Amino acid sequence: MPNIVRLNLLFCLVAFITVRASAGELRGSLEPLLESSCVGCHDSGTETGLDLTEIPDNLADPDTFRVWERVFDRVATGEMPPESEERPDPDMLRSAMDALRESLSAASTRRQQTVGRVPARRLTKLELGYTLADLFDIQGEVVSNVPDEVESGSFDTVGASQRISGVHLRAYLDAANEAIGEAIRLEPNPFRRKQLDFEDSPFLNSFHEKPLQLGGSVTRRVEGEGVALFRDADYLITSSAGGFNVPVAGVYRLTSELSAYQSEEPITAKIIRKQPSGSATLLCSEDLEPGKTETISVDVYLKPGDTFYTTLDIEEPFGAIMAAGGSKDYRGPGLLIKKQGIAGPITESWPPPSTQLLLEGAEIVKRGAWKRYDVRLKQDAAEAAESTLKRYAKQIFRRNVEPEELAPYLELARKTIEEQRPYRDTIQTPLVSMLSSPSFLLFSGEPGELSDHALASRLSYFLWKSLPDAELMELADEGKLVEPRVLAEQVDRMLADEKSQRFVRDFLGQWLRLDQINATSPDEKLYPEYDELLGDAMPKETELFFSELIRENLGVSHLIDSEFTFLNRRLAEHYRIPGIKGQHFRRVELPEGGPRGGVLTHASVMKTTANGTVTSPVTRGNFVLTAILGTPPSPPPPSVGSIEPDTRGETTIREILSAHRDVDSCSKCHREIDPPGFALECFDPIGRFRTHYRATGNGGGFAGFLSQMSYHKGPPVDSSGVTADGKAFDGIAEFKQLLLERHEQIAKNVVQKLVVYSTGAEIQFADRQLIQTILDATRDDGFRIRDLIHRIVQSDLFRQK
Amino acid sequence: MHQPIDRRTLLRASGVSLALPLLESMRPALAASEPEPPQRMVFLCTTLGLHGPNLWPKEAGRDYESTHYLKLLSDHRDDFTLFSGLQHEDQTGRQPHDSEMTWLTAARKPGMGGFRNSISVDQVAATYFGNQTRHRSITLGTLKAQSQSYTSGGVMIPAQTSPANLFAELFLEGKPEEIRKQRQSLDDGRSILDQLAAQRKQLQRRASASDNHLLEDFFASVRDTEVDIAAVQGWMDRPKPKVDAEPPKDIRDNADLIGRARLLLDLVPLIVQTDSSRVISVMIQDHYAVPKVDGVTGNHHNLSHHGLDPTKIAELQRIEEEIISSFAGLLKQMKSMPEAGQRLLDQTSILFGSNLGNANAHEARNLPIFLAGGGFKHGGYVAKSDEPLCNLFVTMLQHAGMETDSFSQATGAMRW
Repeated sequence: MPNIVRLNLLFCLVAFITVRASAGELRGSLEPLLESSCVGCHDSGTETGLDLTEIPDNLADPDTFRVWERVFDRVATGEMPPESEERPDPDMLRSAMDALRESLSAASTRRQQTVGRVPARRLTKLELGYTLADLFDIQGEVVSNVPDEVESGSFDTVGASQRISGVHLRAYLDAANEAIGEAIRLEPNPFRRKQLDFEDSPFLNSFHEKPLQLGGSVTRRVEGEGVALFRDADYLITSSAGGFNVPVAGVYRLTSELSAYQSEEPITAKIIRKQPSGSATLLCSEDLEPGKTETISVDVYLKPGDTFYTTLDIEEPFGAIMAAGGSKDYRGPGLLIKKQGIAGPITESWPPPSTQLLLEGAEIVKRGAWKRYDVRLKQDAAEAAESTLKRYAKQIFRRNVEPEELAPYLELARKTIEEQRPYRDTIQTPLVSMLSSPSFLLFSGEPGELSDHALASRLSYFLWKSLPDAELMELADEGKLVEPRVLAEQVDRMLADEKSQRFVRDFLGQWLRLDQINATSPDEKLYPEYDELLGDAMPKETELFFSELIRENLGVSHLIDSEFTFLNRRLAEHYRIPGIKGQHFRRVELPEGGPRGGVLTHASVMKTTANGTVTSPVTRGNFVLTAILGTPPSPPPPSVGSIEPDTRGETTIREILSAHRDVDSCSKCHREIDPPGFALECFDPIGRFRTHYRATGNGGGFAGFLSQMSYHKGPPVDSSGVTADGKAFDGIAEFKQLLLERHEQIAKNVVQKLVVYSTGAEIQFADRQLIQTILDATRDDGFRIRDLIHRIVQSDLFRQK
Repeated sequence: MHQPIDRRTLLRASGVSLALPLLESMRPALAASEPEPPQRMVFLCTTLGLHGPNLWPKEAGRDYESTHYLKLLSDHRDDFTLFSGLQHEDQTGRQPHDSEMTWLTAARKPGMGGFRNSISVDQVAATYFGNQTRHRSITLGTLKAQSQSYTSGGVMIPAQTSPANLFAELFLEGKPEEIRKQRQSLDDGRSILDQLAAQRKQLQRRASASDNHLLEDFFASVRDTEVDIAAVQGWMDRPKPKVDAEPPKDIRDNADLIGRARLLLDLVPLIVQTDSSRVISVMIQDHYAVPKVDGVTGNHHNLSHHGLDPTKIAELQRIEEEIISSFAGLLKQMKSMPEAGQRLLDQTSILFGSNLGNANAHEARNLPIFLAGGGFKHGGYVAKSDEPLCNLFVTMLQHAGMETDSFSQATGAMRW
């Protein structure tokens, strides 16, 4: 390395001349710094990929701008010039950096003024789904054909990385058709109520005494009381065994009377939905206290082909049942399914209100109990369609719609009338067209301050992931929404609404990668305690916690360390926190001195940052730098080798990683990346606190044989480390203290993430000052989360295009 | 202003929707001079790699000593070539399995800041000869809609996962009422698209300069969809090909990875033989399930992170043996079906491999790559060192008749 530096210094003179030659206005003020500290390495003979002698001045060019912005940042953080080089003169440095900051800021502002800060963005798949559901008052999953959003390193709301293709457009057409199909319901009311019969189910009766190895002997018919189940099984207490098949898609209410059976301890019941694709979703779980019968009611959206089953969370009872000679005389614990009934689809009325709304120009007439409803127009079809379409156009385009803009849609309606097609087609075809139009799918517009309606849209898609409701539209119509007080009231109203959970879930899903919670399933042998109850509970903790920070307006430091969290019985067990009964979540004050508190200690985050088998300090360290601190490390150089995980218990990841620190080119980044990862080594791939690694196999020997374990104790975990700036920590608690010292950086990161997510554009140079203003205004109160949201919404970042 | 007829005429004039009648006139009657059968391409990926020590022979060349996995392919030794040392550069992604997105595209840094995927090699081929068949291309997946086929805009083309549905779509005529409804909805689709296309000017007036990229995307999509609907309408007037095979029954169980993969692979010879499509991609994956394979107790993804534990490697090997045997089964079928005096395999290049070279370490280098059929000279193990996989893609495209020497990271065609 020093050789290269010396060699480059030889070229200094040549470089100097080139700098002079291409010097412009910006260069004039930078030249002294460039000359003294930069072009020694960054000249035409550079190996760094950055040749400062060749970079033009024209900041209006986005690529050139990016280079200079990067130069500014790397010098500002002190990363450049490198420690090994002579320090630049402070005055010279300051004046050069001031000049560069000013030029960058001016260029960035100019760009925002001419084209707007936010390029067009489109509805995400999630937003489209919620919008169609809210618009037509339907529950269905109608966007399944729309392509998933692609991983682009940022939020999926960012327009610059979004695409629209024929694949999208065809799916949009399908989704709109399907949504309207679901909304207009003219068939006879499909509502049914059915009591599932397990006691006299021939299917189940054939299983009670079937041999264990054929899947039988794990249930027992309890005369007059129901059926008892002793094993966690998905093929027995099913809706089809109870004689129920879903006739039409809709929301069904499932009511079950359950109790613990032959048990002194609570029994955990689970009800699970299964789809034809094979995917299974936990609908609810409940801890049943012995001696009590509980009635559990859950509303669930089901499609034809879906089934559900009821089971219990219990250790494999095979041996005990075998010993008892079958389930008949088995005395072990089980779940008694006393009654189970299903009713649905549940609608306010029939035909549902959505049908009435869409066909408001017509009378919907019942022809007989088992016949389809008739649609009888009360007025001229064209007139009826016009008033309906006018109303929907305003909702769909989220603004006032001029008559000439409406005309082509009316033309589509007129065509169907001419062709004498049913009136629903007269409504449906133009609506599908509106729902496939850029005016609906895109957020675009002129630079400058957002109009009332555009502001209503941006706000609504931020906090509700859906279209503005009537109140927002009314305020926009009246021109009141732009008033700061009104805007603040609306933010509070929207956050209080249940729909804001969509924002919490989606924002955390992308920010903390909670949407990846099921991307890997933990190794069954190393982590046998992991089950669906735990997997289901993990993201809920984080979502409830973040919602509480918003609701209670708590400081950003809670993200790093907090005296409370949200737990249910299963997750509390996992955290070894005693005294939490029942499967519902509640706020829990954490015991002092424990490792928990803050999102980094949530099992959800620890699981998504591991691969199911092992943890890697590199992955987790990268996560802390990127997601929490907002200072992502540079990606690894090309062709760098990966770490070969080894779970035989012979080497620890730390030993493998130590090789990194000894190589100069690795250590530059890894001294930043690895320490946060080391601190988190005390959490295993399922977020359990650990003092030792687990290694595969029972460890051999007589003790291993006796233990019957699928894993054995491996080497001890060392979660100490030294941060890049030389501060030592002995574990997670001390590391969190070090992170807390940087809580302003964390607040800045949270603000930036929220701005990017809500506006759909990355942070630009000109935004830095506005973000600083938000931080300055909230610092004294400790950067409270709800305050941050309010400040963002009120700032020009949010209110300008 | 609103002139749908003009625009359609324009579309026809540009030759896109003319492809169908043209094809008919181009195809000579089944007479004395039998036409040269077209070249096809199949891309087959198992997403969790193949355990290297079981795969790679010690010596390169034609006389390599067969390895554990290669023995499963011994009946076809002269019909395939195994390559090592191939990869795409810059595949460290945001998520460790992000190289799944780029196996057929070679776009750099999948999922990292500002990432956009690029067109996949199968879609390049599809733009070249896709408009001569009922389906431009067919994308299949064992688990979900995820595929490795991407449009020129970098948008994933969803995979079909139901062999039964695909079979019906390809080879079974619908009921008259269904067909009537489908025609109606295609007509509606066209009216809607006409209407959308007419909004172009008005919208561009409203938008600012920075909005253009999505608007342009949008109107390109409208055009693309119009062409697509026109093609579907054209094909609806022609009877579907009949095949001498029972319609498959879908396997519901996600854990039956091998069963699901085989049902999809069984469709490949039928698609090729009937010329329903000339480009097929298949993605074999089941991250979450414990595959139903004798002796396997762990889930596939976790087994791929075997951590060098021999018991896990033994289970992983069982799964991979089944996957390789499925590939062997496909080769066998393709060899047994005649076409124009040759075997179906001779006109079909089948690329089989993985986006991971070492799944235990998530390493996307030194990928396992087999090329079979297509009339290439086969029979050897070719050890390259750090050569772009794209070079092999270029070779395949050229072989199929495309005049190109570039694709994504390619530096030229590959020779061996």
